[in-house]
Amino acid sequence: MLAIHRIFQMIFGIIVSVTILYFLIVYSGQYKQNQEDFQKALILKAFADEAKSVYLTGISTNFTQFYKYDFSSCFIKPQTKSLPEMQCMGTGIADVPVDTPLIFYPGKQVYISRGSLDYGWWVYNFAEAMPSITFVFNPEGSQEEKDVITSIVQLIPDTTDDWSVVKVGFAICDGGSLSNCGDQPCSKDDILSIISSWEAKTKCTASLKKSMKLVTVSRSCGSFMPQSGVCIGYPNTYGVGNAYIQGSGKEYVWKDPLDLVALSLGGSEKDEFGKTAGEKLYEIKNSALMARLSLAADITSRRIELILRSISPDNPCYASYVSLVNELSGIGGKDYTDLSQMDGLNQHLNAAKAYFQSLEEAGCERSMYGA
Amino acid sequence: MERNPARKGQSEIMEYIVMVVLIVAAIIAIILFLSWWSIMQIEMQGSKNQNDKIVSLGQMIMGDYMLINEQAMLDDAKLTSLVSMSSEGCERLQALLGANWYAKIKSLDMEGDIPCTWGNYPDCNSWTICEYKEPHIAQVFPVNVYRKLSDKAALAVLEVGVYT
Repeated sequence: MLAIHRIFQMIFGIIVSVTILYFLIVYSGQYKQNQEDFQKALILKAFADEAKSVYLTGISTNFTQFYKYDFSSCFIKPQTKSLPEMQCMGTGIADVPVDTPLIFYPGKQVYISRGSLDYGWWVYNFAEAMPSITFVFNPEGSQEEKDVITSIVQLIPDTTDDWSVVKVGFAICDGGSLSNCGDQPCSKDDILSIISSWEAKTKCTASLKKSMKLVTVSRSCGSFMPQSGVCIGYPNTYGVGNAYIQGSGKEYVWKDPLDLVALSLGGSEKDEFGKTAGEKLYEIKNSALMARLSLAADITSRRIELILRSISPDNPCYASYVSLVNELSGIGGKDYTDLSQMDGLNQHLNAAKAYFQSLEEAGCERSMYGA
Repeated sequence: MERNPARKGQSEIMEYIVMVVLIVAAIIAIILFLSWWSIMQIEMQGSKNQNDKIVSLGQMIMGDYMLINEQAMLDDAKLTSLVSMSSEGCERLQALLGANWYAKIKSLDMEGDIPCTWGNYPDCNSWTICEYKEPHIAQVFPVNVYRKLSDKAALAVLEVGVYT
């Protein structure tokens, strides 16, 4: 017969073992999850650093660490009074601040490059990161359309280098068929030479892979919508137009080619809250640009006031400086959400660029590029 | 002499309890060690991040056309415009580049340290962007400052610090 202390030992042993085992399983599960989230946050931080490095140096690079986990829900969200943050929906990853103006579309491997918008008196640099994607155009054949598409293509990185693991290409849709350059999507150079001579094609009905982004530039956007992607309306005389995303129902006012790159790259793919990736990229692009543009305009206006104090009104530079400062004072301080406000903004930006160019030509200002 | 069986049972239970306590202590020690390790990793990462932040802030200031005239050439009139906006300029810049830092630029083409203001430009040679306070860690970078009114470039030092 078992002694009482043996029975106690057995019961106590079972209770203690089960408790310890339960605790260890819960703790190790929690520890594994924490470490995984920590690793994911480190990868996002490494990506943000890499994007910053590209933004500062202008040297393009591949970022290949995203294959380790699923980052497909990650996007950059603008914040009102602090840095934008990289957020990943439905995960426990901490938000990672991003201090670089960045257009990011997630993928297992992304190519990071730097682009710029030249306003004459100021240059806006930004980084863009995208995976292997094919932009599909459905030509209408007009000169306005060719100009718009050319401006989009010029801001998309050239990935024809041997070391690039990402291939960003272009194709043309004609009805139910897609045409490439040989077996592969066209390169940036190929498509730029094709655009100048392309003719109208029938409405695109081809089935497109997830990695293909349909970009339609048409006079009748709004009343007509393509099967997917974005529809970009023609610009008015100030270079401003409307764009539409399939399935969104909203109008997006575009004022520069980077708006179109953001809308086209994100496209009509929706997240679990029904927001399109195109809209998210458009928001972060404009939030980053407008905050910088407004501050740059204020600094430049004040700078010109300092200069004007030191030169006489007879100086040949004086009148152009006064005109420039008048134009710059009209920039910033608004939300710029509708077409008429954007018209006003682009009017000021175009005039300011022209005045700055005249100052450069008169030798009153140095070129931003050191010329 | 035969031992009392009740006493033997008691001592075996005691042994058993001591063993369980030791095992639990070992598990707690392992957990504490792993937690300490994670905290140390985060602290090391934080320390490295501060140094990285200083370098990248320096690069941002030297590469942003808001403040430069051409690549790596800070413009004295732009710097004066920014510092004369007082705290608003700093707040707007920190919303773009992150908070808790300062930058001090001193041009070496003049004797002494004469802070630039709206009133004394261009007879001045230093600019402090955002409030300078302690404690902080800082690094110094050689830069150029373009003197707009005299159309000359001057050697300068840029000190960037982050608050600890």
